[in-house]
Amino acid sequence: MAARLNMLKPLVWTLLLTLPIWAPLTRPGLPATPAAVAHVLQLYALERGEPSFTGRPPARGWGDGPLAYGIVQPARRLGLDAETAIKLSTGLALAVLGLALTATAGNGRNGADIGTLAVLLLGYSPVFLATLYQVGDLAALWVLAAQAVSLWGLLRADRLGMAATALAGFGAVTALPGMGLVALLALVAALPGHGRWALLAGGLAGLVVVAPWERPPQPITAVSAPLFRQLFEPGWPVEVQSLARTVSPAWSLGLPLVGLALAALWLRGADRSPAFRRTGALHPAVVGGLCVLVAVLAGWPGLSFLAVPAQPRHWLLSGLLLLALTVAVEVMPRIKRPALQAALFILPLLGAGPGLAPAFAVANVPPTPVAFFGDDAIVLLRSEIEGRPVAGGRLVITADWLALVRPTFDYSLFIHVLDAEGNRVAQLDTQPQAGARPMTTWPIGELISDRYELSVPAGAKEPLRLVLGLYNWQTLARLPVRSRLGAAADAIILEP
Amino acid sequence: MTRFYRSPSFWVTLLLSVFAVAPLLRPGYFWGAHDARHNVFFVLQYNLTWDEGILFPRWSPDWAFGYGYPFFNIYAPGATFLATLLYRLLPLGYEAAVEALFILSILLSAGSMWNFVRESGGEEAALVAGVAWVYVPYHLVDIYVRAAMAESLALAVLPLALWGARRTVLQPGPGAVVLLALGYAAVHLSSNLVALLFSPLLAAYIAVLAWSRLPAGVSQRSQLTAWLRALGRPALGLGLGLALAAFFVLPALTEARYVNQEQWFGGYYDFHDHFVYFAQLFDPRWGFGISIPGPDDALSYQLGLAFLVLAVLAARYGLQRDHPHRLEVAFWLGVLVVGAWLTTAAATWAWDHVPLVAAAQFPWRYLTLAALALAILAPVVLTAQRQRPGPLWPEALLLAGLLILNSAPYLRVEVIPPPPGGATLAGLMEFERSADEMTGMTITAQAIPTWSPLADLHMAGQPITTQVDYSRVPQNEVLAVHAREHAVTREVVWVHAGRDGLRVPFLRQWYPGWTASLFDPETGALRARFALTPDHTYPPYGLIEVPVPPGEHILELRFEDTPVRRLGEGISLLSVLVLAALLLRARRRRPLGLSGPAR
Repeated sequence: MAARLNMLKPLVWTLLLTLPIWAPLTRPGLPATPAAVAHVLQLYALERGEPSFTGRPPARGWGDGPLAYGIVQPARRLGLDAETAIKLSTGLALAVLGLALTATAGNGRNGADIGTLAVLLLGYSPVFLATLYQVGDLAALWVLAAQAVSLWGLLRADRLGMAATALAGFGAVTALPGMGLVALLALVAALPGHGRWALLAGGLAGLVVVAPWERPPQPITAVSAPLFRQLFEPGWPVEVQSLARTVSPAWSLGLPLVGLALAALWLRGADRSPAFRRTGALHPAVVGGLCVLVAVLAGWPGLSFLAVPAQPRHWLLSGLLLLALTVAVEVMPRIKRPALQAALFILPLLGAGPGLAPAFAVANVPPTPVAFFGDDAIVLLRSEIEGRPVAGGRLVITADWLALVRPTFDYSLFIHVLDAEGNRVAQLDTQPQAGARPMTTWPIGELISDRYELSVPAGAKEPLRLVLGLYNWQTLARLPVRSRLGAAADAIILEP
Repeated sequence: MTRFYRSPSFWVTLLLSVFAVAPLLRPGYFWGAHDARHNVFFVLQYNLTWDEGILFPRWSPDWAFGYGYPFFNIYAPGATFLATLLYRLLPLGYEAAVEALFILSILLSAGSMWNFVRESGGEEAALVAGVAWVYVPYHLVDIYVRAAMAESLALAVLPLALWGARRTVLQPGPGAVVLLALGYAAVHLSSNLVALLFSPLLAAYIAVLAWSRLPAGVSQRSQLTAWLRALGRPALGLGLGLALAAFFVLPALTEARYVNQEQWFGGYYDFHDHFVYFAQLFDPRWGFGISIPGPDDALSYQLGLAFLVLAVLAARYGLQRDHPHRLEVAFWLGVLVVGAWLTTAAATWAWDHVPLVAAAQFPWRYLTLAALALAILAPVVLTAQRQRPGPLWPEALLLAGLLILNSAPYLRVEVIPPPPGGATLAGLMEFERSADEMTGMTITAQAIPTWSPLADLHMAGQPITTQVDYSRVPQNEVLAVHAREHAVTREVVWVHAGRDGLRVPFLRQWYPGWTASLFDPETGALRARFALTPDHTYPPYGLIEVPVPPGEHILELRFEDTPVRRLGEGISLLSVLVLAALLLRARRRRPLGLSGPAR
């Protein structure tokens, strides 16, 4: 019993040392990421048995695969609200990733400290934190967690390990098919043993499950890939005193990881480590490095096809896990003195940057959006009319908007009041928030609340209807709109 | 063990504090920090009162637009006393004196923590702990963001009390008792709030230390007896410390009820709006704003990332069976957890129901305890490898460097131009008017003033020659008053009262201690002398009015010591004598009695 408890200790230390990573999830509201509201909507949709909250197959990048949502269903049945459930899913992914990685290295007879250092190097790298709290890529997080579990199973190389490997392979692909496959193949390339077959089998089974959910790959128009120099930027690109969080998603691997990688190279030259003794496999660091390289190359002209199976960020993360583990395996066993260990553990935290201070917003996401405009780019999440539209009355309409794709034009909004015969008796034409927030300033995922007021003439023939739409103020062409399950039109009727 | 001043480690620790001192040496003054203006005006008020020969002024004359307030009767005066002393002794302005006090508190923090931790961990551990105590983020918030002068000084002396406590239990002797008494008194005289938070912790620490020394293999009864016996000397030290500070503590406890406390705890100060969100404890951002409801406070409540790592590793290494101070490490880990917990809304029940918890005013004040624990736990990882070969100092310097690196981005002050009036009485009036600060009232007030005739005089740069409220004196055969003498806590006037039942109004707030004396103008013989009560006030600000019988009198109004204050002063004097005797005894035993056994 005592021995089992001792085995748990490293996991506890890892959880405590990663407190700053997961603590933000305890804040009220949702992370202000492009995907946060979409995640909640997608959770609602899957619970209704629909493939996507838009009523169409999910677009790549958010909502792919059901793993991230399915994992929290027991908690949902116990009454957990959808927003907290999404944060719980994120927290679970972090916990699985941290614990599996800690156990992986401990399993490899190099001591649990190796795993802890690997977790810190990965978890506190700016690119990881940006994925977590700036991009909000929940699925990618689950793939990394599955990758870590696979790694644990592969190194364990027994029946339990094989089963875990297969299950994790399945999980990785059902979480995010493209990145899942990349992550699994990276492991297959880097690690020897029969477990690889179990991993591939799990991955294939996952593909079979998620295939019906996948939209055919879209033609790639623009790839968000890191520049080489961005991999090595310091963690704090903005003034630390600034409370503003106007930081673009970071790509940096983290200077502590880069520095220790160089130290690991030096140490290998001096004394070859027995870790990852390999037969018929590439060194994990080489595989990790190749993944990072692909992420960079995907941004080059003519090489954007590299982003077809997985986005550059996904390539990068898949490789990062292997790099962090390799660095920890090479460096940590040589550090015997606790104070030096402490220094190694502190470094990744100091290099973390503003990723540890994410912005949160209180969202209050409704289960079903009202309408989708322009090929699902702009969502009208909620609309409310105060009172009933009557002749001579004054109407106040509130609306919550969300951009799923960054608008490229400042569309105007119209609200028409139509009388019983369909005649327009009152109208309002405006830019969002009376011009204060034109659509081109809408970041993806931010909830834009607006309020409209208009008066109805006294003689208007009732019953009255309200119609809302968006249009190009230069051409006056209306943006196509559809309700979640309804047919396409150029405006929607607002229900009181 | 060498004396502290002969140890290079001690001086290196002080030198490593230079990065925390440097921002305070910038030209200008950090007027924008929360209490930066208060501090300057505290010293200004103290200095004005010193000018009249009052060494321990309990009455601050220019609070509440000149109506006065017994601020230093209820607010620990240590920091203001020292800052005023620096102002008087050194060629410094008010602002520079305040900054000098902060610098002194930083250096004292490093030195006191160094001495405390050296007892248990050695000089290398002491260096890490000293640096950690200076650079732990909450300490820096207190200095640079809050400019909390009293709290900063209290943080500096906390380790002295802990050091004394440790000594009285583990190496009992008269010197140890004196050290504990001085340390504990210093805490009380530095900050009431910190003393309130710290006292239960200190008591628990002593109990734990005594427990750790219990003999093994004896009956439970014998153990209990030994434990109680071990608590004797620390109890004596704490009692003497409290007695030493009694001249302040006793009146503060008994006479605080005569001021309007709603101004301290109501409205913005409702603690329910100021709980720290769990995530904020790990949020590395910094800010110079104030505490607001919700998770987006504009100042930092972080524990510190590097400090957190060292605390986790302290748990890992310090709780091992073979660690020599396992119980102490467990205690400080407990303090860290409880201190952090009390800052969060999870402790709402404790704030609502446990006596004295809510006296901290703001939940985040419990970060004081968490920060103290973090600093003490920081070097545990170092002591864990004591039995391993090789010198420890390189690792001690490495850890100290990382702790400084952790806090390096926060080492800055916001120097802004002085507000209108600067460090003058006119500036004080502007401050009171614009910020509604330093407008404390006593219980006789029904309203908080927004201006006064005295403030007009200050703004015009004119001296105040009397505080008689002439707007209420008809100056005729019924009632006439002529001012004779005026001082901060005293006023003498000639009075003619034409009939019975007349009162002389003053522009001074009532508070226990205001006493009126009536003299015969011809002979100077005392006719009557009486303490003023809430019945001797007039609305709406509860200002003093003194009843005078018909006839001519010389009326002296004077702010004097109440029986409680005199009792406190007597106790303090007595404790000084006892401590002096103990110190003499300790010197006979061992010079100074402040150096420990050889390691």
